[in-house]
Amino acid sequence: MGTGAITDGRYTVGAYFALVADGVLDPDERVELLDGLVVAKPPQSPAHAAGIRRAQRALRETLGPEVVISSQLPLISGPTSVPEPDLAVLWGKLEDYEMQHPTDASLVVEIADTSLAQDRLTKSRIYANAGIRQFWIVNLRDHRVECFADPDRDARVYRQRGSASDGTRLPIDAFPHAALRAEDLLAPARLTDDD
Amino acid sequence: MDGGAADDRYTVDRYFALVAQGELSPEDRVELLDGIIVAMPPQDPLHASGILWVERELRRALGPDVLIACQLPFVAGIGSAPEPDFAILPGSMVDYTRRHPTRASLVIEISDSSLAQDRLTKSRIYAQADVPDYWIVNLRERVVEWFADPESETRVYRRRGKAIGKAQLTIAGFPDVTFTAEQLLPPVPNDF
Repeated sequence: MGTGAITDGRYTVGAYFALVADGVLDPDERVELLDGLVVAKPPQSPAHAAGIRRAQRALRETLGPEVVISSQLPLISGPTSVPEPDLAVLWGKLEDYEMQHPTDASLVVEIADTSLAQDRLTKSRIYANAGIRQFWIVNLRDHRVECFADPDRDARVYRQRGSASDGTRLPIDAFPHAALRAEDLLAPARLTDDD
Repeated sequence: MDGGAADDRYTVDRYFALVAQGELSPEDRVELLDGIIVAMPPQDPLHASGILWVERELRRALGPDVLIACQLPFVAGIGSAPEPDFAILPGSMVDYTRRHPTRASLVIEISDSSLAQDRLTKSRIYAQADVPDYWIVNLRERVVEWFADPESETRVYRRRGKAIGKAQLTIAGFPDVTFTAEQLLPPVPNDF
């Protein structure tokens, strides 16, 4: 089956966007393209939505008003993936993305409660393959931030990975002056004690 | 980059080994779809009541001895272990104490937020696994989408259609059993 093209029924980015034009996919459908598969995005829990708001505020405060931060919007990540990360810090200016979706980001953040395994095992490979410099998983289940850095694109893995809890500083490589701490991204511990 | 993408996908064996290795918790709600680990969303009441409703209708029509697996692993080829809402399995219980099923006469997905995934991704997986009949109980549009006559190599069902109201649905593996579309759709309360 290996003729070079995607022959095992997987969608390329072009074929995926054509599904909307062809009426097969509703534009409002909550889906992502992950390694050629059309995958549903579950409805969000309040904790997940709150996690996005919290992380977005923290990034905005530390990065300032001009940096482009997209939330749950398409990020073309190689020939067969279009995830919609919870947050992506993009290079350049807003105007750079009027005609095309971004294909790179300096940082991607996923807020994970029920999606934790998917974020660790599937999304991390996709973002590493796309060369995304840093990938953070805000792990609401275990109250910590899992940090991935130094992507090996060919091997689809991040060479560095670690875990940050309250009090740990989280550097962003593309913004050496950014001062973010793990607790800026995590709900106050007392709200999660009853887990 | 394109060349490297094919090789790190999970096989079914590696996927189940992830639990033993502690990478995946048995409580993680995930499926393996074409080598990709995908989260299964928490079920909303509409989906859950669809499960209850269809389970009763299947049991009534098929009798007490037919195996009806509900949201359990189904090994569908080398790279897929979905957990379909329903799979009608051949054989008897003891056939599955040491291994997950690899064949089913019918698979059903109850679909609201997962509709696109069930149509575009799951249908290919079930066609490849040669599941003769696949139904999507589409709660959003209140129709049953049916797929029949799978072609394993191309991963498509050659025949497909939509059934509404009293339109009849048949299963190749059970020639004496028919369902109507409305029989498979849970009633909607008036205050909806």
